[in-house]
Amino acid sequence: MKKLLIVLLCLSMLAFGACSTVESIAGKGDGSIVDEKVTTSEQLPNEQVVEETETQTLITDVVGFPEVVEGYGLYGATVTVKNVYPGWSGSAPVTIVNGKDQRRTFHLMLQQPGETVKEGYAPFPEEYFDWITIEDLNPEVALGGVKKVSVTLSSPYGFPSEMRGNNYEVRILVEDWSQTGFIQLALQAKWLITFAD
Amino acid sequence: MKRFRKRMAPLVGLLVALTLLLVPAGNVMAANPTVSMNVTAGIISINNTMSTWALGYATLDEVIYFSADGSQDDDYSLIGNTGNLAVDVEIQGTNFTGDPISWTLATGADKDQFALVADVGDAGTYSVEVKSSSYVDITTDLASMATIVWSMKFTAPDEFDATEAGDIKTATVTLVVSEHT
Repeated sequence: MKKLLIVLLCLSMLAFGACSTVESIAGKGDGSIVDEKVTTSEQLPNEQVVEETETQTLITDVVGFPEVVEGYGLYGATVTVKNVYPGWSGSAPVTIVNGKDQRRTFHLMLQQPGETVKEGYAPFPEEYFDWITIEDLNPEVALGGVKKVSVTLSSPYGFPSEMRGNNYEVRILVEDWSQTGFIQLALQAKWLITFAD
Repeated sequence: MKRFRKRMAPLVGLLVALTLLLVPAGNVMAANPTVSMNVTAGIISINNTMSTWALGYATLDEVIYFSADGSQDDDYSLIGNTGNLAVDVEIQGTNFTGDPISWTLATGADKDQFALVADVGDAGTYSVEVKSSSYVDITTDLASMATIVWSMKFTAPDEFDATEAGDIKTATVTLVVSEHT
């Protein structure tokens, strides 16, 4: 009897443990797009990968990276998404780390990659840019501040059959609209997307 | 022992019910397709010293430089990778407007000429070349904490009109930085 009780107790604790993980992930995010359908999670030192069905959110935390004193930096430079199927939707943040020199206003927009497109990947077709939404196109970030801007890919149920099984790359341009001068800098985050067969 | 079993019976029932309730739910979810998402752990960041450049006064068929004061000395721009990931740096011409000059950034085969082409209608086109030999897109695979020096020169065509050069001064060149592919 005691053994049965212990086995059942362990099983119950395991089951409860899985549920409590979901709750903690949902609570830690920026709150923009977090779905309760999250089923599993894996905590890595500087990234968090969340796997689930239908809706997925990737949560990242900037920890232990070089301090940005001047200018700005971007965390989440490359997001890889594999096995995207019709009807799936997923989010990941572009994290802007502002330097300690000034307050900045940024502008975010989608772009196709230039000549540095990843080998084996094609530029994500511009006509489907509306599958991707950027939470805040013009965020302001305080001096030394960090701002997470959620980017969401929503694959429609009837996406073109020629995209199945193929790899695409799309860039998210992050421009500092506060800068002046002839030579200006902009950073790009990449999304490498592989569609399911 | 009997009393213990009697007391534990409801608790066992509750645990069995909870187990049955939660375990099948997990099995159903596992059967669905899995999409994986991951992100590079690292930060891209870059700085550019001497970013305020101007186009100097030009006469016909003369080579002039984009530099801090428009002079033809060895002014340059210094790009430094201050992040912890290797990066690629590409050029995008933006805001190349200003009647009568409008600029487009050519790509592909013309890239080696830096290929900023100013279309001024009947007056023809201007070409802009990179002065520094370090220009390769400007660069690919710029390592963390590494720097690169670059500059540009402008070759005025026969039809060059100095008054049009004033418009060019308002243009911007954007260096676009992404994680090295």
